[in-house]
Amino acid sequence: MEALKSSATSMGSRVAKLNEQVATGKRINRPSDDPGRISQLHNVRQQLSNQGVYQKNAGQAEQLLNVADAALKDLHSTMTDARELAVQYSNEVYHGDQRADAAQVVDSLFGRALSSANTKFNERYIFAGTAYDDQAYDSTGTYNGSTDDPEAVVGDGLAVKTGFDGSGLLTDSSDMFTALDNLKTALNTDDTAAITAALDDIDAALKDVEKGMVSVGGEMRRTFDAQDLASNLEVELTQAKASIEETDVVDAYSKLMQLQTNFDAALQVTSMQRYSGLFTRI
Amino acid sequence: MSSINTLHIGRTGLKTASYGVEVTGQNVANATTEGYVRRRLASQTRVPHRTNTGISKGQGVQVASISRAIDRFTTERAFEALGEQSMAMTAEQTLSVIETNFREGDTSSISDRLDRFFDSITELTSEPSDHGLRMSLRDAGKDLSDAVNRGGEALVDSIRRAEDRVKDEIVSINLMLDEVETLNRRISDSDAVNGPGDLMDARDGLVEKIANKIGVDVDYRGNGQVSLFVGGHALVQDVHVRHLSTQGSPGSLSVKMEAGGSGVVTIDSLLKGELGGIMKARDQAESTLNDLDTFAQEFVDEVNLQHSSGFDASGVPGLDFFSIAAAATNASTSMSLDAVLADDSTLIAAAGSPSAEVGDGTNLDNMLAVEDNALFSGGNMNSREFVASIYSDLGNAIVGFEVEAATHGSIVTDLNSLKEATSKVDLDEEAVSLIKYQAAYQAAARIVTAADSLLQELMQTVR
Repeated sequence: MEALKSSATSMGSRVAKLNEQVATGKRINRPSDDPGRISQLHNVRQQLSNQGVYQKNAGQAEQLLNVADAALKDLHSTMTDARELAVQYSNEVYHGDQRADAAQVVDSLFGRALSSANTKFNERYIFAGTAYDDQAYDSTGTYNGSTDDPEAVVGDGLAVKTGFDGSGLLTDSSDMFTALDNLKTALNTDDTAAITAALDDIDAALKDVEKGMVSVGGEMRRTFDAQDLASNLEVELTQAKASIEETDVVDAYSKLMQLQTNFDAALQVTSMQRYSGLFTRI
Repeated sequence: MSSINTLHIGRTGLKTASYGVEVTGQNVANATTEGYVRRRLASQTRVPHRTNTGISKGQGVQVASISRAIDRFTTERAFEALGEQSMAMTAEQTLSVIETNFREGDTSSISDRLDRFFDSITELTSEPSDHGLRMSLRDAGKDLSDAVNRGGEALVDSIRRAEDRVKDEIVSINLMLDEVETLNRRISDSDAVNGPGDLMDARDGLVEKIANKIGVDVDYRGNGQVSLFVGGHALVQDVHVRHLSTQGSPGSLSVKMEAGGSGVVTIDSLLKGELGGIMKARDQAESTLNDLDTFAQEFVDEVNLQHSSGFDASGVPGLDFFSIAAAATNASTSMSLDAVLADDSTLIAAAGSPSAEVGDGTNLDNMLAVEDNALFSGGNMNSREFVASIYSDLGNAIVGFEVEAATHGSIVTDLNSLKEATSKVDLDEEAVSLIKYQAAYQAAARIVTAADSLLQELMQTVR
């Protein structure tokens, strides 16, 4: 009976532990379940948690960069149209009235370029740098944004741009708005030499836009890579976490059943130990 | 005359056999009584009468003693092992309750909230001016503070409860010590026949309770009394008792024992039994609380340092992000969000300069770096590692006590089995004794009958 009492106490705590493992599916529910693996478990959990945020940030960056890419393509198209006009009307065959009509077209191209340069994404002006709460360029084409690029963290020690300093990206070595304005003036004044000079400025502006497209493309590439990395790490870390903390439910359940069977057997044996000694015979 | 002497001899036989049946009956009646030690009747020949002619004439039998069948050595060891087992079990059980406040995989745990805090900073880097993300960071900071508060408060409460229990137990232990001394006194006044046995059973029952409570070294003396020692200090020695008391402020309660004169001696490290277990659990809880306080203070200091080096949405230098009351007893229970920042998330200092634009999150990078700063353990652990070490230290302590309890439990079971082999009533053995004393009584009765018959014959002859 004493042995039964003693084994009942120890069995009770083992049963409770196995029950908890079966119910939660976890081998480690409290620090004392495996103190040596706690640090590793916390480390894996933290890294796993990070990947979720990294993917979220990278996803938002990707959307913004897609919009930036589309805006740059539009800008490139606008400047290409302007170039074609410049080339066409630098020819001496055209007279002043025709050039004046072309000047109006350039005026509308200016508006298109301004609109592209002031593209927004989620109420952010993409090409205004960190001053993205206000337009990057004013109505005259003067840059109003900041010279810093905002960034978002998308990995351990890894950040991607979530906005661009327009003065560096779009109008680095040239000024497309001045070039368009000069072209419009040259057309209005029927000055073919000025039209040719404006053409050189427009070519320089196109090169800047192309450089900008490469930069944005590069950020998009880094964003995709960050998303892939975070996604792959999430899978690996989930498996690592499972191998540390999860229990084999079938194994735990069968141990529980075995323990219960042993206890029932002990009870059965004890109940059969009735006194049948000498006192029943004298 | 020899017939009369024969009658007398028969009478002594009847009386002794009758005692034997009585003792056997007492054993059988108490076969299931907790703590009862079976009695043994020892008989001896009465002093013979020497005649004028030098012949020794027997005077029959008498009861020498009614003693308890006890193995002193095994009993002493069993009491000592009980103290060890009880200490480990109590410590393990007490700490397991505390451990429920530090469960793994709980989304309200300190480690989870710490991860969430830094994740919120990471998220904010994507849009430093976003009101929703700022509020998320603020809420994550509050959640982290709440988790640390809960952990600290649970530890403070468990320490207080442990110490309250020690104070309560000391009162009942002192009463038991006095009772042991009283029984020692009564046992020394008893004689071997008139039965100190019941007194000794009662006394040993108290000794077992005391051993379970505080763990004692037991020494059975030759005069039937028992002495109890704690770490070499005599607690009960014959009829002298040294009482226990407690001293100290909450969190540093100490158990004392009376020493010579009006002095006391500290016996914290000498205690075993339940009280020893409670004290060990209390000490571990204190250690965990100290570590948690260290985490709270260092973490808050570092985050505040980084936050205040940045600038808020208005270009003003950052306030403290967290606060801990200057006079707080425990940093962990006092940690909270700065009261002003808690009401206005625009005060979160994300920018790196006063003239920075809305999208500047330079200072968020500085705050993120706190996660990997080796602030703890002499520059060897970062925040996450230190929190993990708090959890694993607690877990290791519990596992250690669990193993100790199992080991000493096996020893106690074995020693109790050995003890019972000597002391416990065996009904078959008592049945044999009953037959023996019955036969002895019947034989003695025949002697009396025979002596009576001789006397009758003599009376007939003399008439």
